[in-house]
Amino acid sequence: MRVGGVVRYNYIRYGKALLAALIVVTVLTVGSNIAMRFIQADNMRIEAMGNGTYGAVASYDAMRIYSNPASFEWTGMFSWVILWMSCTLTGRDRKFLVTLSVSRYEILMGNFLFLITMALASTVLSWLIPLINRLALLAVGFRFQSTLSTQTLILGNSVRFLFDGAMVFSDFMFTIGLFTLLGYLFGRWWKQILVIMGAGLVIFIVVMSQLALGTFSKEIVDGIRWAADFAITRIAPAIEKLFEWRESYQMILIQLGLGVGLTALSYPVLYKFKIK
Amino acid sequence: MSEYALELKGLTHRYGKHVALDNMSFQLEPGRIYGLLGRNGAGKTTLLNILSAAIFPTSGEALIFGERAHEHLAALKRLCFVREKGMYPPAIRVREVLKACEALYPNWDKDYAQRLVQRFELNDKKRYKQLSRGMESSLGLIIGLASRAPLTIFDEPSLGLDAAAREHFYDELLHDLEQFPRTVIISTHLIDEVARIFEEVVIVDKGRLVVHEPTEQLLSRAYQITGPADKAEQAARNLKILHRDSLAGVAVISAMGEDLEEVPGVTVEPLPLQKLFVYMTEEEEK
Repeated sequence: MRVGGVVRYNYIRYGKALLAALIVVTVLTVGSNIAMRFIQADNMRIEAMGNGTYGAVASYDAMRIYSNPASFEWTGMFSWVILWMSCTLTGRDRKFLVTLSVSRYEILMGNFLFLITMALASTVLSWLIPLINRLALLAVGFRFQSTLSTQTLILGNSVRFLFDGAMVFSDFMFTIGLFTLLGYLFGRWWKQILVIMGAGLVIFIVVMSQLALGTFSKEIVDGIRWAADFAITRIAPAIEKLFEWRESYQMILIQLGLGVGLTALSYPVLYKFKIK
Repeated sequence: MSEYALELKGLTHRYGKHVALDNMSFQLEPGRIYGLLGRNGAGKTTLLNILSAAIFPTSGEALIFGERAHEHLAALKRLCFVREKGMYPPAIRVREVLKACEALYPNWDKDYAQRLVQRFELNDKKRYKQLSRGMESSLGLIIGLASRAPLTIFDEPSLGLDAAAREHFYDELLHDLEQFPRTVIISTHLIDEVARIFEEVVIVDKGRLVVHEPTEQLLSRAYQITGPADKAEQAARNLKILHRDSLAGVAVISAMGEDLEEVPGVTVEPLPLQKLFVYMTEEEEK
């Protein structure tokens, strides 16, 4: 099986660009964070001098205090990268790989494994970038509000570090599953989807405008109204209930399960997806 | 496992009402070079797309070494299909394509690929979108040659290539096949140029198989008879006449068959494959 080959292909294709982007993002986030802290500290000093409380504070240096050693940050940014990557792999690369006689199964598995490594890397980096941030701030003279243990300095303020890391990873996995499936669905049936969306928009306008309609049309519109009410009052709350706050380990399992399950559902979509 | 490199069984494909392939059946034995010939719209590319599982037949089967290519990993690993128009991501670099091939073709010869890059004078740092048409074809040829796949298919491999590059390709193909025998199918419109390397010819027209025969055998029965009209007609009277032409009272008759009559005063030459193909498919039209 050439699943490993597909993973390797994805790294050949995107590895350098992702690494370069990562370096740029790290430098920019750390740099901008440090600059922001300096500006913040300076503003506080100016304000204190202005209202006469400056002398009450030990020194300007005392204002250079950093108080937020969060364990995992920037998860939203990594989610967007994973989302973009999941969708990209369903497009042109899929066609190219089929022309290299790779089976659709190998493509799906290879892409999935590649995205898992991205999710793992993103989880580690969402801890590592804040750590670099903290160390950089210390290096330029900022202090923490309270004395930090070495463990807190390195791991951040999370009480359950590994647990929170697992939660971050499971978020990424859910993103992978959802957007892989959506990517293939839209790639294969985009015309039909756009037609349905267009029809839905027209119906929505008709329903909302409350035009005077003939009996048959009125029955259709009433039916659509009932379906919309059902979706809003029954289906949406059920989905919300699935994702409402539970014991974290359940949420981790649900998201991991959805990540794997939604990716697996992509295979029937991909199975007879023509390459034109 | 089937003894055939390729086997079609009643293969039919329709695009709506248009029948692109019409109950096509034939077998290709392994280890030979085949020419797949057909006019525009004959169904060649549809056939090749079905073989490579890019599209799926309406009915019938296309088997590679006894198995359908679609999602059959063992069959797909033995196939390399170089398309007329590659579906490369525009921003991908040539060397990235070659690295991908190294990762995905089990028999890939990296050193051979590098030698071919130099022989075809391809800049491997260029992105695909920066390549000329000839360079795109060169890249396809390099992939097809270096893959060493047991079944290698080239669809219009010569597009955009200059004469020197085409000669390099034919040389490389023949030399490589001597050392690493495999089944090669070449679909091309440059028939006379490539005819010398075809061991067998498959001609398709309007989705149907017209001819499948060893090249030498086919051409041994095809004649171009030149001479006075009455004598030329006499020489060809027991043959199937494919085409007649005349110029200043001299008749040129293209014909096929076993029973050529020897008539003094006429010249008989072998009919070139390209002309044979044109006349046979014109005849099918009629």
